[in-house]
Amino acid sequence: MDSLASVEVLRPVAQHLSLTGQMPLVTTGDATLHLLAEDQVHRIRRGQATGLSQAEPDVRWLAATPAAYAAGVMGMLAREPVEVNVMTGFFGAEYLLMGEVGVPRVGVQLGGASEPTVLPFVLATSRAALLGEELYAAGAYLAHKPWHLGSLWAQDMLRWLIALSVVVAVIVNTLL
Amino acid sequence: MASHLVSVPVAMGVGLLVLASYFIVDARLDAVVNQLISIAAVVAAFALFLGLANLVRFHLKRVRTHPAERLYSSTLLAALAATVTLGLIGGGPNAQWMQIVFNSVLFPLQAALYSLLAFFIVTATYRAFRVRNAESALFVIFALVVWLGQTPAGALLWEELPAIKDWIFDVPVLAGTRGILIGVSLGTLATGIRVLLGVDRPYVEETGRDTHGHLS
Repeated sequence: MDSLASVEVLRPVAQHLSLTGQMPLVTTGDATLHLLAEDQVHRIRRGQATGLSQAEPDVRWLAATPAAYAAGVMGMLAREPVEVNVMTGFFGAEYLLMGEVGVPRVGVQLGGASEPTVLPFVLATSRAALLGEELYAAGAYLAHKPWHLGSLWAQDMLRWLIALSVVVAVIVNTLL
Repeated sequence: MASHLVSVPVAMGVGLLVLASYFIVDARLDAVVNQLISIAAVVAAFALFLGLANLVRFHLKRVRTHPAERLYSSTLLAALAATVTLGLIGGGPNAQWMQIVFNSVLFPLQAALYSLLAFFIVTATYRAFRVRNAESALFVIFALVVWLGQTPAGALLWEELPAIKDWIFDVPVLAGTRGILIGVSLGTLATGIRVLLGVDRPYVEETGRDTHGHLS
């Protein structure tokens, strides 16, 4: 699900970038996600009719294991000029390895993860971060799709309902 | 695009069937779902082949066009070819030679990479410990209390420190983590429903949609 939510981040980013005639360099550590990401950026490139010469999309599958993927990203951040680095998806401790290499070298670094143990790493290495459920709201933030805004509203209402239920349960439990 | 007339009902149908198998106890439904999951595993294996092809194509191109990167890409391609050959000749991933590759090369390399985390945590902590506002000041105070509470010296400084550290873990940290997990669960639920209902369709062309993206 984190990966699907991250595709919702990739799409508007690639769309905005394509307006300048450029395409993002996308890396994945999951082979099925690689196909999805490649399809997304190629589709956006086809859909743009700006009259500018469009750059070729560069989507790379780096490795199947988290450590090898992190090593690949660290090498890219260290050797290639990167203006903006967006890292979203399902990460473990390897997030910090990639993020720390990016901090001194990348102009703007943005991150997003839903795993609570990774969130401190995201906060420590990013200028702006999508924390926890915010990752799933990225589609609403970036693309303003009605269905995404609607589901975001439903999530907010459900969260209030759960919080209210907890408070009521505590009061009832205390009084009885 | 007529492709979505096939792909959307197939994706929705398969998703709903797999979901239904969690709630309905039926042997025939389980058999169908197991078959669908097997098909998904085969598709994922093919995706791995395509990923591998992407990797090989990229590094072959880099060997030809980037002299400075030639050594790295050649090493990667040679290691890939050697591992695949060993796996094919040796008898699969459980063969002795493959176990040697995993135990003597891959795992030590991964351990070496993850050992860098200790140093990276220090640099990240150094940056995070700069007090810029009330929020970061609170962060530093909590971090120092937890840090001192974890060490024997902390208890010597003030015997209540370990108890305060435990309270921080058991109350504010646990409450925050649970709040995040509830939010993530709701987000997962919403994303799953959107995909199952065919509203989010990353697998088909969305003509005329998504033309007004905003980066904020």
